[in-house]
Amino acid sequence: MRILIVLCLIGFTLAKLAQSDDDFEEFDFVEETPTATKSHQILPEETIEEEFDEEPVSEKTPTKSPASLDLDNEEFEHFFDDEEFENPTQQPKKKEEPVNLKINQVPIHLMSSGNWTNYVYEIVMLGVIAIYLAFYLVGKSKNSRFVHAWYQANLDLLEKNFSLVGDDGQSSELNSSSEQGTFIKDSDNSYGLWCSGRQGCEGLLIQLKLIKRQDLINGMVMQMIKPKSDQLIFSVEYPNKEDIDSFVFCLTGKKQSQQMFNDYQDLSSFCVEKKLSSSVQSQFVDLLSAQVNQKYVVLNEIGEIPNYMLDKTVCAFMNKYPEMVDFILVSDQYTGFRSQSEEQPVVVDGSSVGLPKSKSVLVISFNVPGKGMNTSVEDMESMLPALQLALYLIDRVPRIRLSKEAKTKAIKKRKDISEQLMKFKHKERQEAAMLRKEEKRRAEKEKIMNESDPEKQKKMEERELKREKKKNMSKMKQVKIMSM
Amino acid sequence: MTSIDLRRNDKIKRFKSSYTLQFSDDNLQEYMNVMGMIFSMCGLMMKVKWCAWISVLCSFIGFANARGGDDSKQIFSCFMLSISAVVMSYLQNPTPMTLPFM
Repeated sequence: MRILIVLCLIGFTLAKLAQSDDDFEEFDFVEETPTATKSHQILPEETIEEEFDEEPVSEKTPTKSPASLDLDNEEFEHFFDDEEFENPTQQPKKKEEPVNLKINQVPIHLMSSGNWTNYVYEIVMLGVIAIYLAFYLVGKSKNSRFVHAWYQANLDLLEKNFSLVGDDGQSSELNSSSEQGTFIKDSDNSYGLWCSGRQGCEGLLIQLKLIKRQDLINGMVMQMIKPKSDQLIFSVEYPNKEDIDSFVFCLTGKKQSQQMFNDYQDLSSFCVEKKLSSSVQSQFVDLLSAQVNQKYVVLNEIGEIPNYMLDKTVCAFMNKYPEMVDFILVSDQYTGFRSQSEEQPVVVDGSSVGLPKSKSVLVISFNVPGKGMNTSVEDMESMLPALQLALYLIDRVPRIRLSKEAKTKAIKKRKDISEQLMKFKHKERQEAAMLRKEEKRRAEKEKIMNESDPEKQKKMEERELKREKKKNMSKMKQVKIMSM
Repeated sequence: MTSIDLRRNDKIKRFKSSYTLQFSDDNLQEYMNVMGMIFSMCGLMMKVKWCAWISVLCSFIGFANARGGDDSKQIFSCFMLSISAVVMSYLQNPTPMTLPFM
């Protein structure tokens, strides 16, 4: 019973307390800000937040207002101040007013329909890339088709002459059956075929240098401006230096001769340009047609060589195919292109210190008929005579021997030129050494200049002076001795 | 002449890269790589859209003129850089491209 009574009492007092609280609140706000208080009481926090969604300040209002409830009436004036406190009753009014916000122009979204016409340049660029890719695929397949056609046409003769046809030097074991026909692919327009295992030469490297059909911009457009032919280049390196007697010879087109002269170190140092008719004996000139006679020039070292080189077979070939031969180069001093010669391995033995190693080579380059643009598969297949001529010359060139007079002359010239080159190299090296010395001295002087301690600086300067004096003295002595 | 067999099995030599007497020293691919790099940098840094597009074209030309098999990494990186230049420039500002002289 007692407990019950106590409980009842507690419940009553609590109810009374709550009532008095409410009364107080009502009394406080009904007079001053009736709407504001009502909204605070009725609306829970979430609904208020929804209303004030666009105003970041609104979140603070519910926390602010209960704290300030106990304050006196005058202090609530700032509730109506627009800047200090945002009153929910004034909200609708604000919304109607034009908002003074600076709105940046938002770029139109890419995917919104209807504005694809604005992207003209982009579409053009994509089109260019698509066309380029299409030409790439077509040109690449065309080039590889040409290579294949040539290979099929020449395979018989190649297999008769070489025991190995096609090797890329990559696979670990030489399996003759699977190795056959492996091209060395340098790029999409340049293929190589390595043939080896023949009497008289180490190997024959056949390079098919086609037009850049895979490159629309560089290959095809340049082709229209400056037409070039597809080329077949046969290069043979002889195993021994004595396989070719000491001579350098080149037969090339008139227009090309200057470039050849510049490109090859051996041509520029040994050869003199001559007309065909003046360099060849009369009996051979008769063999050549007038067209060939006008088209080609000879870069020659020794007078008797053109007679050996341009024999009946070669002359007949040139008469029959006057456009085909690009150049024929025979050299016992071959060091490669000028630009490459610096990278060549340097031989360091007694006789030729620092000179690039020279090789005995035969290089024959043919133009495929059709001037590039009109070249067809049939043209590639008709290149069989080129291979026949190359094979003939491979055997022919080592058989050419100079007369005694010419031989001694040639050897003397080689000596002279190697000496010249040596001198040049020596000079270069000396200059480099001088430069290094100068730099060293400058660095030392700078060191003295940078020294902060004046006494030390003086000492260093004196030391430097002494050293220089000593050097001069020793030089003077040398001069005296020399003059004596 | 054809009756004599000139083949010698014992004289077979493997191909060596030093035999490449006449392989061209065509440096177009390197030039294109460098150009593509420069243009894509312009596209990325200065937000020039046509530069980004040209760098894509440059990398395509470099790809078409590629030599050998060992520089595929360089081509790949050039492609990545140029395409990222295009994508970045359009992500930041999807307005159509404007040409500098128009």
